[in-house]
Amino acid sequence: LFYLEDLNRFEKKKWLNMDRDARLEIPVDDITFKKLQKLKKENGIQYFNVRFSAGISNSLSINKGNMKRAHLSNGFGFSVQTLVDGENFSGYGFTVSNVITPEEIEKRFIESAKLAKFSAQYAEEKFKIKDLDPIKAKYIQPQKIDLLNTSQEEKIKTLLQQDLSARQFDKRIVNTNSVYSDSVTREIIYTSDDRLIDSTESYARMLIFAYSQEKQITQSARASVGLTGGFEVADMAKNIGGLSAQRAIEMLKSKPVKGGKYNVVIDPLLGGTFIHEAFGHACEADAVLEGQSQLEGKIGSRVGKDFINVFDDPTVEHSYGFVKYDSEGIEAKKVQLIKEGVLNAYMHSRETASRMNVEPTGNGRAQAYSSTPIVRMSNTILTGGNMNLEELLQDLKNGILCVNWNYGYTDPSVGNFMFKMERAWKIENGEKTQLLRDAALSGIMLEALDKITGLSKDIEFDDGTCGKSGQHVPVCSGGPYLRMNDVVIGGM
Amino acid sequence: MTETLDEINKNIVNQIDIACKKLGIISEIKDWEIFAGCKLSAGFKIEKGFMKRSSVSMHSGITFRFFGEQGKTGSAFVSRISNNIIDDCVDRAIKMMRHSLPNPEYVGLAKHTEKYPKVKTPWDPEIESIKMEDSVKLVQNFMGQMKRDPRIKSISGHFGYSDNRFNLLNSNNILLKDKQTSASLSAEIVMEEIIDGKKENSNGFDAQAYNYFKELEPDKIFNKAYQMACQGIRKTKIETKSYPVILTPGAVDKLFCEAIFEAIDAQAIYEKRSFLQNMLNKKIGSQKLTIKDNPWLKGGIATSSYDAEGTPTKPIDVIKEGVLKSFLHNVYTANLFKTESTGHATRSLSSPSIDIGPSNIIIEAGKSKKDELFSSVKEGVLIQYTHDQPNITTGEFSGLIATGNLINDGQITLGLQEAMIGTKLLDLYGKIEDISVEVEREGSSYVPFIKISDLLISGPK
Repeated sequence: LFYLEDLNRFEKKKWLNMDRDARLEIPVDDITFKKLQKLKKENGIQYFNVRFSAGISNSLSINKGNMKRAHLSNGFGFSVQTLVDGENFSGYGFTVSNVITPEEIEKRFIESAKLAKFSAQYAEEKFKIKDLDPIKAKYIQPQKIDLLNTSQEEKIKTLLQQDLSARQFDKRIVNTNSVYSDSVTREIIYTSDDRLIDSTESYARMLIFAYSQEKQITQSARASVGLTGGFEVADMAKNIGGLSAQRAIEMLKSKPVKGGKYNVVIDPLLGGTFIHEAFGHACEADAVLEGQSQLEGKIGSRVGKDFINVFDDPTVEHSYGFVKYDSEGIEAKKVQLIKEGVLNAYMHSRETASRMNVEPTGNGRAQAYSSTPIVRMSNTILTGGNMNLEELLQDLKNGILCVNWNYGYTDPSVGNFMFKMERAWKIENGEKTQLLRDAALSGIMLEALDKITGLSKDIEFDDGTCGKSGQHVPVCSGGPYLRMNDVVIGGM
Repeated sequence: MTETLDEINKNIVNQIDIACKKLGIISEIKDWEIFAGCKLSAGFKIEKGFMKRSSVSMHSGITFRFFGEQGKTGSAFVSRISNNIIDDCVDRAIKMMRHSLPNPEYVGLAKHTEKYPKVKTPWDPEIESIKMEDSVKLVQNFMGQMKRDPRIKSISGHFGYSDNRFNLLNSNNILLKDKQTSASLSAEIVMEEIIDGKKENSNGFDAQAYNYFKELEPDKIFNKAYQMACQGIRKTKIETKSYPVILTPGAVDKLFCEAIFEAIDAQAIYEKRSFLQNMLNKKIGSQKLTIKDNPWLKGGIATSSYDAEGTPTKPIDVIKEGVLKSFLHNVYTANLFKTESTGHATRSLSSPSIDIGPSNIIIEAGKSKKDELFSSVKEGVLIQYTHDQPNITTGEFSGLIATGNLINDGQITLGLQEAMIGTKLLDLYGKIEDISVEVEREGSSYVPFIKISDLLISGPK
């Protein structure tokens, strides 16, 4: 087997578990890849991307100390994406199966090719995916503490500790929901230009929800940590139980925010979500090509003040948005989206890069082998400025300090964005006075960056999950404290 | 293709039979449950009014869920169906259970009964035999829309269908084998126009998901998306104040159906994370508001004689003339509340979690015509859609009006920009002034237009 042969060349000591776990074996080899090339010729395919996958995921859920879920999942399968560059137009076919055998691979390849030809009959665009140089690469996500070698008892114990510390924080904590999840997924990607990537990625995340109650008021808060790596997530998670409970208790004193227009300071956790939603999605080149981005045709145009710099950087090791190779086998790279206030670049998949005649950026990500790669962000970062929080608040005088996020979304075609903050502080004369809740902040993308009037030096990051076209991928976003004027806040 | 799906399911059933015999002799397993099935799905994606990609997927899997002493639970899923792999999956589920924590709240699984209602799970033989070529008419429908109006910049969308086989068994002699089909179609239109020298954009969208292919109404979807895009192209920013508001069925589904049914999930009630936790048999809204959950509804997308645990379903009154009448239960929460399951357990193939969810939701229609609701508004706001989720714990909602318009003298006029809603849900439900006689289908909900007497809308003006 390709996997077993190749793994012998790896540092076995470091990845001891990997060559022991039969559940990550994928029965394909050089004969498979030669067969795929033969099928390409026989079926008139311009480009294909075949992804074989085997994954193990573990999820645990504790509710008030009682185990609600202790689950292991072993997924297995492959997909075939083919592109036909027809006489007039180009079209894709895509097939998925749970069975990896030579016969099934051939059957699904032929089926995908037929679908691609069918699509091309009713398509309008004609394009090719540009061939790249052949490569053979292997990557295994480093783990300080191997997830598959960590016992179930250890994982449960760690989660239970955080659940307990949340429950014991204060007698007003009436409920907790604590969730742990990890996954190790091996994917072999083989493309028509003879690029072969064997990549094993691992994620771990812990999330604690705490619910507080006093008289008739109920409030909730959460704290989480997530990383690409191993069970070292437990070290990072040591305080999240107490933190979620502390936040839930604080929220008991909160009042609903009054809706209206405010000057605000946004904290780094919410600031990261802001830059992801308000700007990042519109920089995804598939949205641009589909006529669904307000940033279409705006490369080189000013979109913000000259101290605004935004990057998508998948190379930040161990971050939740870390990507070594994307789902099309492209090594992910740092892209500067805004340079000194000017739109500098979009993020690309192989298709969008080919159609826009630029290099792919490694942003073609799929949720799993059963989904098609689409353009996605990784770690989206607004770089810092030269102020600190106190200075930003003093200059704000009266307004709102927006803290942490619940969720956010954008509609890149019309430029609307919205995000819900976890909590906020009313600021009077530069001082925090009243804790506020359930505030939502919205704006228009092309106006928003211009409303930023100051940035702090310090930057923080936060993990999250981004949804697009029904696919969810791990991402991270970060930035400094940022001050914005004339922002609409939705409230009671 | 049908043969293949049935063959895969036959193999699954054989494997389940073998596994069941083994499970019966493992003494540390007190209760067990197997949920297994396979699914064929296919569809195409439309980009800028033309076909971009067509796809076919085949998925299968088995989940084993075990309970041991003191309610300890463990479960495992595997997508490959073969003897040794299933044995390995069973072993892993047992190990998970062994190392799990006790759960004194667990009492048992659903029990066998002969009392299933005579309701058939919707299954469309047309979908079983459909070929991608049969859906060409739908593609041509999309292609035609691009020529409809020069302001249309792009049309994107998706058509999909699926054919499912599933099998549910447990140690209490539940044995259910069934099949279900679904078909869905969505469209989003982006419109662009130069207004006063400035490029303005708007979008409109609609989607349908039904059990039968023939139920899809492409023209209705395109017309709704087109109308919404037209209504939003000329926009205005409004001032912050209270307005009379009309909610479309899409907005009603979000602010009423989704919010209320999430809040009456008995697990949320038990965990004290629902704003309706102390409201059973109390007034939570206007007397005009009556909501039912009907799993027996003919043609409903969620119609079924049993839920995801195998409990028989039954129609229930959720809100009657403004009074909250019921919470939704599965077997686990029914035990916590010392009552019977209402048959509202839900699950997915690869997840072991048994959640709680509604079936077909019906908000009782009013007596006024939709046009009468509009003509009664001199200056107000039409909320067509919001993507936002209410805070179910606090019962408060603040969010963006993603698609909405001003109403002047009963007419829908300019689209809204940066307009946000803020309200306590109980206030919203109490301020129902009128309900339309017209009812529209939004997924598994049947919802009318609702007029709210006043609602705070925040705007940038």
